[in-house]
Parts: sequence; structure tokens; C-alpha cells
Amino acid sequence: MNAIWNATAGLKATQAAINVVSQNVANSGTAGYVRRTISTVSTEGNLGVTVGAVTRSFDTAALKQLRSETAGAAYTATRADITSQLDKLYGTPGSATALDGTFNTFTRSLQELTANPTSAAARSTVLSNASALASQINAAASNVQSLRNGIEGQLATDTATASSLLSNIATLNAKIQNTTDDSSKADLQDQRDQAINSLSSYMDLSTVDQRDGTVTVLTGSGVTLVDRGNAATLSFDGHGTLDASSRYSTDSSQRTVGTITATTPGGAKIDLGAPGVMRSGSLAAQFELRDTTLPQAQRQLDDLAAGMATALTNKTVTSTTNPAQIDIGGMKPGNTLTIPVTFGDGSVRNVVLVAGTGASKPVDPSVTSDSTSFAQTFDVTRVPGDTENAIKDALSAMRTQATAAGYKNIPNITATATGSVVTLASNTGSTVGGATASITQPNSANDFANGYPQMPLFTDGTSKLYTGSVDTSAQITGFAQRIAVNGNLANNSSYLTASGANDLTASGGRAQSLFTSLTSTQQTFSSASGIGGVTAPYTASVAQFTQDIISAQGSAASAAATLDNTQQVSLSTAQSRFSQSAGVNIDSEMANLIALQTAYGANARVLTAARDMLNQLLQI
Amino acid sequence: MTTIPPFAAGSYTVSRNTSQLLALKSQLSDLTNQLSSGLTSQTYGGLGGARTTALSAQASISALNGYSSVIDTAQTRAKLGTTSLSQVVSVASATNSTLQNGLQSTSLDTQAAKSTALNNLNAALDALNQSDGSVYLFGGKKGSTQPVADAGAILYGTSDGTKTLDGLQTIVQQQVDADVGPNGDGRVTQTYVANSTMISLAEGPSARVTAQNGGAFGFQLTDVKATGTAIGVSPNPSGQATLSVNGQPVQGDTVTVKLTLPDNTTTTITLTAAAANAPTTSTTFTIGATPSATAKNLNDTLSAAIKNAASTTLSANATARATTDFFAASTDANTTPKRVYADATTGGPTYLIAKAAAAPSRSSPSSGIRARAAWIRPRGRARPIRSVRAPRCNSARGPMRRRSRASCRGSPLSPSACRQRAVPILRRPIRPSLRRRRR
Repeated sequence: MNAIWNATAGLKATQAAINVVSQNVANSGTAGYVRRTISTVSTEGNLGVTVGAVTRSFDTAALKQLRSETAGAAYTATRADITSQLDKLYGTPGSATALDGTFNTFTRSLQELTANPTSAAARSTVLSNASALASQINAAASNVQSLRNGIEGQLATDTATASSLLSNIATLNAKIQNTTDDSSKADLQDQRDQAINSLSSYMDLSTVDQRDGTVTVLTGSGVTLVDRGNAATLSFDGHGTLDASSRYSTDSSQRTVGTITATTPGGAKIDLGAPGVMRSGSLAAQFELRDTTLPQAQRQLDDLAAGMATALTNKTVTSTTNPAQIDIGGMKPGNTLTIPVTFGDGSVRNVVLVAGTGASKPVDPSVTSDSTSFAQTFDVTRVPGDTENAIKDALSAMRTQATAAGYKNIPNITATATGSVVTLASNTGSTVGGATASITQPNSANDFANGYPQMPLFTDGTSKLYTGSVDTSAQITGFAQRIAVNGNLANNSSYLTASGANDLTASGGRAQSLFTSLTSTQQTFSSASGIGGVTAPYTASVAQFTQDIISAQGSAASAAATLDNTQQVSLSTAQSRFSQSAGVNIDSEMANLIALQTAYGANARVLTAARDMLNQLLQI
Repeated sequence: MTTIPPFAAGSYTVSRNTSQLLALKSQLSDLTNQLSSGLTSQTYGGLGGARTTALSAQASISALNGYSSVIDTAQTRAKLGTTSLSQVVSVASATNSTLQNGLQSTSLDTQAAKSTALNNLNAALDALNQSDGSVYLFGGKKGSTQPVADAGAILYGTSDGTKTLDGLQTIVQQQVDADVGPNGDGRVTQTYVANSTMISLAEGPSARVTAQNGGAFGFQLTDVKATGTAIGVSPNPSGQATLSVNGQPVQGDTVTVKLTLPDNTTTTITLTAAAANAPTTSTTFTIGATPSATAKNLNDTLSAAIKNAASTTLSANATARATTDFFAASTDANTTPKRVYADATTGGPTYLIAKAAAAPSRSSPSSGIRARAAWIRPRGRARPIRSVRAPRCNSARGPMRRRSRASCRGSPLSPSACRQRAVPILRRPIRPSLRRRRR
């Protein structure tokens, strides 16, 4: 009666196979569902067939590729999204409301004032256009900071989601470990893989399959996030409202922005926000945008604002001789004296002495025009005639700092001074290549006479002179948010057309000189703005720098968009590859179904034949 | 920020088709946007490689537009300026021809010529005060104030409440008065003792340029001649001459007096001896019964002739000089019209303020051309003129001056010690009444 047993077993096996087919067909549109197959095994002793394991059919390499491309695509899409918003900040090309349009409108009104100096309307047009320009810079800088704030908020939400995904993976790991039923195990595995796939869109991951069926999840840089049933918790310490001075630091006491901390089950804390820990995924992109891209955009606007203010107030004095002789009389706190030094090995480094009040102290070189310089303050408030000692003190303090930091080439400059004229020479082994000083002419925001035709048109707030002071904090930081048209000028616009320091007779000379200062006079912009390379200061006119900022952000946005498009193609390739092995193919399922239907009929026929044979036997 | 949504492996093709359709749709809307706006992109990012070109082109276009509008303004001004200048030229030539016609005509025409000239002056001044709406074209650096005062102020002076500014009329009158002299004889003294035969002529003490007066006033006696033998001339070197009628001149004898005017032009008076019964003219003198009677006749005629020359030639000459000088003065060149003052020591006329006992009036010279008296030089900041009076002490340096003798009267110090102490120059005009009291 083996035939009966065999046929019965066959019917059973076919039914199980039809179950799997029907489940495949039903779930063909379910996200995260992996096509399942069932295998049958013939039993020993001609006793029919038994149902083997239900297995999930997919290509492991394709899954790995899918996850890495997902992380990459999330990274590029996030970057493209924010950079395109930055690009939009500068307005529609060719329109008067674009940043360069507003700037051009302002300079054009200066040209018109040159021709009509007696017209009060022309003067107020200049002031209102200047005000519009300042407001646009304020608004753009505020937008940059609100983008950072948005990212800070989004980071908090994303961290919470990622953390719950991690605990979800750990829970599923534990369940899989304890489940024996093939079908439900496959369901759990589907869910776990789905959770890991979702997590991979936040960060780059690597996974290790363990023998007990669990999966260990690590970040791309090797931090273990899930091990069997234990998951790390991710937390984010948001810092509320960010401003231009908020920045990331690995030292948590210096840090003024939030970071993600992973707390392992053992209690260890790991800072995931440090550069290089996360390399891909939307979280890495958000860190990069918040801590690098957007601060740089802010710095560009700060530099533009500072350039606009100082182009109209500062006089640049240069000496190109060796030793350099330069008159630094009238320097205000924040004005800089830059000394390029060439060393014996041919390398060049700038020494930037920033005028300050009080004892000499080191300055973060990134707030000066050269991020790689040696920067130090010197006391300009010392009694006149003691310039020599002020400079000497600063130079020796700078040497001490540089020696302590372990630099190979340390400039050794000697300074002597006669009155306000400083002579800078270098000791053996290096050469002083000249010196440049930028000196603010007006003594206050209300001073329109000193240094005519220079004048404080743009001020810090409406009544504070901008000099770039570093005494309490760097005045340049966040200046883009604060730049405004001098309130004193708004009260009496006739200074715009003064024909001499103390002569308010209307003439177009001053307007012409302001126009030239903005459109042709070359200015030095900081290397921290990233325009023209990050190591060397960039020299351009203010008008040119405005165009460069827009151009740099535009090309960054278009590069990010191109990169994103490429990455989306890679992602769809990976998805397509994965779906070839893991996706449910209805055609093949239908073919299977017909085969199974036939097999079922055949088994039933065998059973009928066996029954008939038994009946005949019993009738004998 | 952007997360990648989970996808169903089984229906991948369908979802891929969907996303491609969406991509196509967004391309379509981009293109529609381009078509409707005429712009390649709504952001600088979308411009691609043309971005920097677009930016610098925008800046150039703006600068060029600025230049173009400035050029438009300048063109308008140039056109207006040309029109004004050609108007001044045509007004000047019209005035010239009108006045020349007037010279040959009756007095009725002279009146008409005078009013035409006044109208033409007004027209010329209007042309010089031409404004394009914001700037007075001929205002130079001071484009917001009228470059020229109105004709009334120039001719007749004006007063702005704090100071009186003299006009051309006053200045001319003062110059004429100074040249013609109180007796109307061009400051030439003519002496004739009754019944004598001697007539003495002497030019005024300020007839020649001296350090005292700074310029000549009245006639210089250059040459005196006589024909015939009856009248003798003894010329003296210092502008004096004596005519002596030694006998009876014959009819036709002449006496010629050559007078030099302050600008070195000359006028000549020629008197002819005429018979007793000849009709009397202004250039003849009658031969009397005796030489002394003839001398008296000669004296009368000569006196009348000199006065006539003073009231016509000299007066016209003084008017022309004062007028030329008045209009030559300018604030920018820091010059003022010459003024006539009374010399402190001689009482005669002088051009030098330092020699003057006091300014002839408390007014400054007018106005029309200049707003500031040149002898008050601006110190430091520009300030409105408050004083029209010069410091009385010539050696005053800066804003200080030595005290005057008058102000030291009654001081406990010795007069010289008192005068060493400097006092600030009074900036406010001193009223003449006050000044008199102080003295």
C-alpha cells in the first residue's frame, strides 16, 4: 500500500508548495518580502515525500550592495536638497532681486549720484539701495542659520528613528534565535532585513551573519550597534537655536551644536558625530552640511559683509621691500598687519598681527584672512611711541606659541619702530617679503571727515563701526546677520556728497570713489570662505567676490545634483539586481502553480487507482 | 533628511516605471517653466558653465546702464549749457548793436536803449542761472546755489538783514566821485588872482599812483602848451603849470592842456583865442581889453573846459573802470572789486583799506559776483561771513590783532605795552554810532 502513502504524502507536499506559491503571489507587492521556495525530499523506504525547509531566495551580495547604495543615495539626496536651497537663497539669475542684482542696483545708484550730487532723491536712493543690499545679506545669512537649525531638529528626529530601528533589530534577532517554524522564521528575517535596510538609509552599515541566525550590525567605521539581542541606544543632545558662532568640537565642553552619542549595552559612550565616524547616509550628510557646508556659506556672507564695510572705510598700505618699512599709524582694534615670510626651504607662511587692546594673545587664524597663518594680537592702545614694544611682544608671543605647537619653520622677525613707522626684518634663514596693513580711517560710526573720501557707509548694527575686532569675540562672525546702513548717514545723507573732509558742498567725488572702492579696488578675502582655494587668501573686488560666492554656491549645488542623479542610478541598479533574485515573478509562480496542479491531479489519480485496486482485491 | 523609502522587490519594475514617469513629468514641468519664463533656470545652480558669464555680464550691464544714464544726464546738461551760452552771446551782440545805434540817436532812443540793455542783462543772467532741475549748470562745484545774483542786486545792491551789500551803482558812483573830486574838476586846482595875468594849474595830490593811495584819482597834468608869443607857459615838473598872459594874444592863438586819466589814456583841451565880438563857445576865450581881462576870460573858459572834461570823459572813464573791475572780481579767485576809502592822514581818496580811516560805509561791496569780501580770508572751517570790516591793525596775524591806540586810552598800562596785548578781532560789524563813541 506504498502507493497510497506515497500519493498522500505527494498531496501533502503539493499543498504545502501551493501554499508557498500563494503566499508569494499574495505578497508580490509587499515591501521587504523576499520570494520563498520550498524544497521536497523523498523519504527512505519508498514511503513518499516530505516537505523540506521554506527558504528565502535572495543574493547576499546584492543585498549588501543595495544597503551601501541606499546609504550613498540618502547622503547625496540630502546634500543635493540643502545645497539647492542654498543656491535658491541668491535669487533668480538676471533678476533685480538676486544678490548680485541688488549689489549692482546699489553700485548703479552710486554712479547716478556721481552725476546728480545735489539731488536729495539720488542720495536717498543710494541709502535705500544700500539698505536693501544689507537686508538681503541679513536674510541670506539668517536663512543659512535656519537651514542649520532645521538640520539640528531633523538630526534629533532621525536619531530617535535610528535608535528604535536598532532596538527593533535586536528584538527580532532574539525572536529568530528562538523560532523553529520555518515559515515564521522567514517572516521574522524579512522584517529584520527590512529594518536593516531602513537603517542603512541613515548611516553606512556592515553586517555579520552569526551561526545562530542573528545578525551583528556595525557602522562602516566599525562601531558595533547591534550584537545578537543587544542594541546600542542613540541619543542626540540638540542645542536649540544655532547661530553663526555655533560649531562642532570633539571636546564636548567647547561644542555648541548637538551630536549623536551611541551608548552600548555595556555603558560605553561613542560620539558618532565626530568627523569620519559616519561616512555615508543621511546622518553623515546632515553633519557635513551643518558643520562644514553651511558654516562656509555663512563665512562667505560674513566675508562679503566685512568686505563691503571695510572697502569703504579702510586704507591699505603696502611695503614690498626687505626689510619692510610700513607706517601703521591710526590702526584700530581688529585691523591687521600681514607679513609674508619665506623660509630657507622655499615655503611661505603669513604672520598676521591683529591690532587689539590689552596684552598680546593668540588669534584663531581662521578669523583672519589666512587660515594657515600664525596670528597674534598686538596692543594698539599702548602709549604712542611704544609701537615697537607692542609689536616685539606680539612677535615673541607668536614664536612661543608656534614653538609649542611644534612647527618646523618658525618665523623669526625683528621689529624696530620710529613713531608709527615699523621696520620689519628677518633673521638668517628666512626673508620678510614685505608687509601689508589695512587701516580703518574713520574713528567712529559718526566720523565722516577722517580719511576722506573713505566713510563708514555700512556698520555693525546701525551705530557701531566695523573694524574686524577680535578683542572679545571675532566681530566678523555673524556680521552678515548684523550689517546695516549707518544710522548717522540715514539721518544726514549729505555726507555722501561732501566735497571735502569738512566741506559739505555737494560734489560727486565721494560717490565716485565709493563706486570705485566697491567695483574695482582689490581686497583680500579670507581663505576660510573657500573661494579660490582654502589655503591662500583670495584677492578680488567686492563686486567680483559677490559673483564668486553666487557662482561657488551655484556650482556646488549643480555638482551635488549631478552626483545625486548618478547615485540614484546606482541605487536603482542595485534595487534591480536585488529584485531579480528576491522579487516574486508572477509568471514563474503561475507556471509552478500549473505544475503543482498537475502534480496534485496525478497524485490524486494514483490514490484513486490504489483505491480501485483495493476494492477489486476486496471483491475477490 | 532625505531617506530612501523601502521598496517591494516583487513589484520593482512597476515602481521603477512610476518613478521614471515622475522624473519625466518633472522634466516636462522644468521645460514648461523655461518656455514660459524665457530663462534657462530659476537658480544660478541650473545655469551650468554659463554661470560666471551670466554673473559678470549682469555686472557689466548694470555698470553700462549706470554710465548710460549718467551720459544722458550729462548730454541734457551739455545741451542746456550750449543753449544758455549761445543765448548769452546773442544777447551780448544784440546789446552791443542797440547801444551803438543809441549813440547816434536822440535821447528818446537812449532811454529805449537803456531799457533794452537792462532787459538783455536780465536775459544773460537768467541764462547763466540755468538749471537742469538739480544742478545750476554754471555753478561749478557749488551746483546747488545760483551762480549769479539777480540784476537788481548786482546793480543796486541788496540787504539780507545782517549786512548790506553794495551794488554796481554805488561802486560806480563812489569811483566817479573820487575821480571827479568834490569840485567837479578832476581834482585839478586852478588858481587865478583877480586882475592878475597869471593862471596856475596844479593836479590833485592823489593824481599819481603812490604808496599812500594804491592808484591814481583824477587828472594828471601832463602837458601845457601855448602858441604865439603872448601867453607864456612855465611848466613845473611836479604836475603844475603856470600860464601868464604877457600880452594880448592874436586871434587863433591856442592854449593846449593835456590831461592824463588814471588808466593812462589822455584827453586834450585846446582853447583858441577869439575876437571880442566872436560868438562864445566852450573852446574859445575872448581877447579882452587888457591882458588881465584876457587872462580872466582864459581862466573862466579853462575852468569850464576842465570841469566839462571831468564830468564827461573822466566820469565815463571812471564808470568803465569801476564796472570792469566790479565784474572781474570773483570769490573763487579770492578777489574783490576795488573800493574807494578816505585816507586817514590826507583825507584824500585811496584804494588801500589799511590807509583808510574807516570804510566809507559799513557795507561790503556787492554781492552779485561774490558773497565774501576777499580781505576776510576764511580760516579753517568755512563759515558765513559775519563781518564786512577789516581788522584795523594791518599787522594782525591770525584771528588776533594788536589793540588800537584808541582802545588803549585809559588803560593803566603804557600805550605801547597795552598795544602789545593782542585782542581777538571783532567778527561782528560795529555800528558806526558805536564806533564813534568808542573813539
